[in-house]
Amino acid sequence: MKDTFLIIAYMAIWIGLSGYVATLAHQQRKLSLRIDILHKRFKAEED
Amino acid sequence: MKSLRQIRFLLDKDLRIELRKKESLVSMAFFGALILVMLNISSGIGRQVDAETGAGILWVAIIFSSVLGLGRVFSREKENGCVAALLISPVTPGEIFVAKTLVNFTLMLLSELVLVPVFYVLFGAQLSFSLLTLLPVLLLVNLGFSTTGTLISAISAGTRRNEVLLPILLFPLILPLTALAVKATAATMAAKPFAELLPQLEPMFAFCVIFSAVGYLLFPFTIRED
Amino acid sequence: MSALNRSTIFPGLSALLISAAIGMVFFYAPLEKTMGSVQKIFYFHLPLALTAFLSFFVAFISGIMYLRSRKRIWDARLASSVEIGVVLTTLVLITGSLWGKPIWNTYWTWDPRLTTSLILWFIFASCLILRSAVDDEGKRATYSAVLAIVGFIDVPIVFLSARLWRSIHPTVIRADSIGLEFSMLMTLLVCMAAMLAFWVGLYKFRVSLQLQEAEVNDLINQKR
Repeated sequence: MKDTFLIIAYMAIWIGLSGYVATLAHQQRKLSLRIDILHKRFKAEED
Repeated sequence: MKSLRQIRFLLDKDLRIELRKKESLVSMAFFGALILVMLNISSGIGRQVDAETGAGILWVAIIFSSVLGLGRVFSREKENGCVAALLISPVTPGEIFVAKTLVNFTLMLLSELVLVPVFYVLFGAQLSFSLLTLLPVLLLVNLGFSTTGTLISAISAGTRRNEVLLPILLFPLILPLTALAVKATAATMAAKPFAELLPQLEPMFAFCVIFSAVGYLLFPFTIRED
Repeated sequence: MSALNRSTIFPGLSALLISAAIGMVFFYAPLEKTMGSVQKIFYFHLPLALTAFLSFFVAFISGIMYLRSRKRIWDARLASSVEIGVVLTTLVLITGSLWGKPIWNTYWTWDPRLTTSLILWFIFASCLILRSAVDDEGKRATYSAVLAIVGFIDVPIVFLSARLWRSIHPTVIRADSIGLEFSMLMTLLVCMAAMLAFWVGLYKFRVSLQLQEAEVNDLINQKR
């Protein structure tokens, strides 16, 4: 019985933390894509 | 001396607008009374509430109705671009803060003049009410609510979602004040002597002092329009 | 050694320490006599709470620094620490109630520490909502700085008044009655170091993300 609570608690911690890190990584990836697109567009304007 | 006169001038202006249009006060009292009736029905018709529950009900009605008035204080200025006019006039932001706090304080006090009797009629049959010990609790909450509320309403008035954000930002901050007020009010309704309220009134007083100072210091940042 | 540059040192360190910490929690730390295995939640519950509080303290300092200097970097620090703090406090509340259920037989009780964490969570979560509601960068930074300062000042008041709300306290586990013996203390220290390293890595990542986003937005606005 007590072990269940322990397992749920540790799962909550690691799912929570890794979920947050994954969200940040996703945002970073989206941002990199945006930067790439901007870069291409600016280059095209310069030419 | 000069700033006192300017504060009185600002206060005068806002109260006169309120007196002529009666837009905040009527809705505050009406909404508060409505909450009291709803809570009276939902606590079971014909059932008596004890002092602790009664105190909670009174404060829910007062706090929720006061947010209505609070939201108007700044959005009225923002709508007509009056904040810019206030800022170029020779009043300091600190004076605006004091004046707006006093406006709120007055509005809350006036709406409580309606809400406390309504509460007494609906719930008071078994509670031994003493207005004299309730008064300091009311005044302290009004002060704490008005100082914190003026600061937060200046923030929320600058956003797109004023009405939604104001209670969301304000309620967590004033939670300690409300909880202490409920406990103190429960003691007055159980006819405890005034000395038993002091352990609650002292931290409430400290809350008011701290948030008056913090509000006075931070308020200028919130209304400056860059 | 080129892989050990500055950007990978904290993620690497925290990965190392966290695996060591988990190993110590489950295989090294002894079973507590009265509470049994649930007590093992404590080894991560306390470090989570400490790092959460650290985040809000950083937010408070960044708020003050932003209002004084109006530099973008302080807004980025504030935004990052508030967000991380809210995530960590959520986990603190979850693990706390999971620990409380088998021990106190209730998920929630109005103990001063629980109350303070909950109200902190509400205040700083409302700060995140506020940030999402303001478009103008300067305004958003000023407003959230003010809110972070006010929220942090509220903490001691909440804690002191929470002790007055309930006249009868439920018996709360005090630090001295946990009876930290040497192996437990060692485990706790490793967990704390792991969470701190993790926090620093996360914080740096989040700040750089915030700054990059702001600069990309600048670039777009410039071109228009």
